[in-house]
Amino acid sequence: MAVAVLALVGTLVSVYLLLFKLGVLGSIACGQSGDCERVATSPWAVLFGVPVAAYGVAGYLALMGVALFGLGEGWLRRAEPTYWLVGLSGIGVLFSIYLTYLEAAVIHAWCRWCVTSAIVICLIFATSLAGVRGFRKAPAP
Amino acid sequence: MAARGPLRNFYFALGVIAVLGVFLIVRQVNDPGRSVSETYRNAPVTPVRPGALGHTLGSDSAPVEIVEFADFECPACAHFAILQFPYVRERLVSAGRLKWRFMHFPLQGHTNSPSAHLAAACAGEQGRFFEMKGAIFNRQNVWASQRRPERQFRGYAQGLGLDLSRYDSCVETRRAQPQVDADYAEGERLGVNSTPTFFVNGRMWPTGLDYDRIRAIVDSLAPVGGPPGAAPAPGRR
Repeated sequence: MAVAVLALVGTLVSVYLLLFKLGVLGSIACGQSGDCERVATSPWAVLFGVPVAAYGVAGYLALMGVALFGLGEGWLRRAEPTYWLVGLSGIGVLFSIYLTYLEAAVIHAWCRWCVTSAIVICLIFATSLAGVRGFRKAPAP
Repeated sequence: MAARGPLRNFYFALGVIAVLGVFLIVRQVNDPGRSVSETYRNAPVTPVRPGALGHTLGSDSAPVEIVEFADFECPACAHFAILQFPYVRERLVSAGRLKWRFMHFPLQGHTNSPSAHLAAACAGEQGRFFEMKGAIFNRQNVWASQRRPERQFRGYAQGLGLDLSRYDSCVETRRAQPQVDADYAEGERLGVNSTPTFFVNGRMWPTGLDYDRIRAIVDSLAPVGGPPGAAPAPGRR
C-alpha cells in the first residue's frame, strides 16, 4: 500500500516536471533561484530523445501498477510482486543516483522536484526491501 | 471486482491523493493569479538608464517595457527564448502593447558566452540582433561545448544574410564589445546576479516569466481598451 501511495506521489512529481519540459507549464514552482529551470532545460534532461521526466512517469506508473496488482485477490500472500518492486525501484534508485550526481557535479544546480523524486524512489526501494524481508521471515504456507 | 473494506478505503484515499495532485497541477497550468504580485509591487523602481543600452524591439509608445538580462550560455535563458519569446514577440510586441529590451549579461564561468554576445551585438550593428539572438539560443546545445564557437556564429550570420565583411570586421576589432560591457555594468548596478532576470517597467520581477504571465502583466498594467497610460507604469520613459 505504502509503495502505491509513494509511486502515485512520484508519478505526480514526474508529470509536473514533464509538463514543464514540454512547455505546457511556462514556469516551475521552485523559488527564485531558477535552479529547477536550469536542471530541467539542461542537455541531461533528455535521454535518447525522450525527456528524463517521461522515464520517471513510466517508471512510477509501472511501480504503482505492480503495487496495486500485488494487492489483488490471490497475490497478497505471494512474494513475486514484491520482488518486482525491488527490481524496478532498484533500477530507479540507480538512475536517480546518476541524475543527482549530474545535479551536484555537472549542472551545479539543485532541482527540488528532482530531489523529491529521488527521495521517493529510495523510499519505495527501502519499503519493497522490507517487504521481501517480511516474506522471508514468514514464508507463505 | 468489489474490494474488501480496508482495501476500499485505501483505494479511496489513493483516488483522493490523485485528484488533489492533478488539481494542483491543473491549477498551476491555468493559474489565474499570474498578474502583478505583491513582491513586484513592493520592489523599488530602478529603471534602466536611458541611452543606447541593450537591443530593443517594439514601439517606443508601448505602455509596458520589459528588460531582460540574459546570458547566451544559460539554459534557462535559452528555454525562455525558444519556448516563450516567439509568442511574446508575435502577440504582444507586434501588437504594440509591449516593448522588449534585451541586455547582455554574460555570466562568469560560461566560457563561450562572451563570443556569443559579441557575435549577437555585431549582428545588432546591422539591425538583425533579435534574429541572431534566436539563432544562437536555438543552437545553444551545439556551440556551448565547442572549443571555437566563432565559426558557428559566423555561419548563423551568413544564414541570416548579414554583410559578412562588416560582421567579420566587427568581431575582429571587437567593435561592439563596449555595448556588451555597458549592458553588463548596468545589470550589476541594478543588482542582477542570475539570468534571466526581468524588469517590468523598471521594477525587478521576482521570479521567472513565461508568455502567460507576461500577457497577464501587460493586461494588468495596460488593459486593452483602457485609457493609455492609466495603469501604474513606474520607471516609464
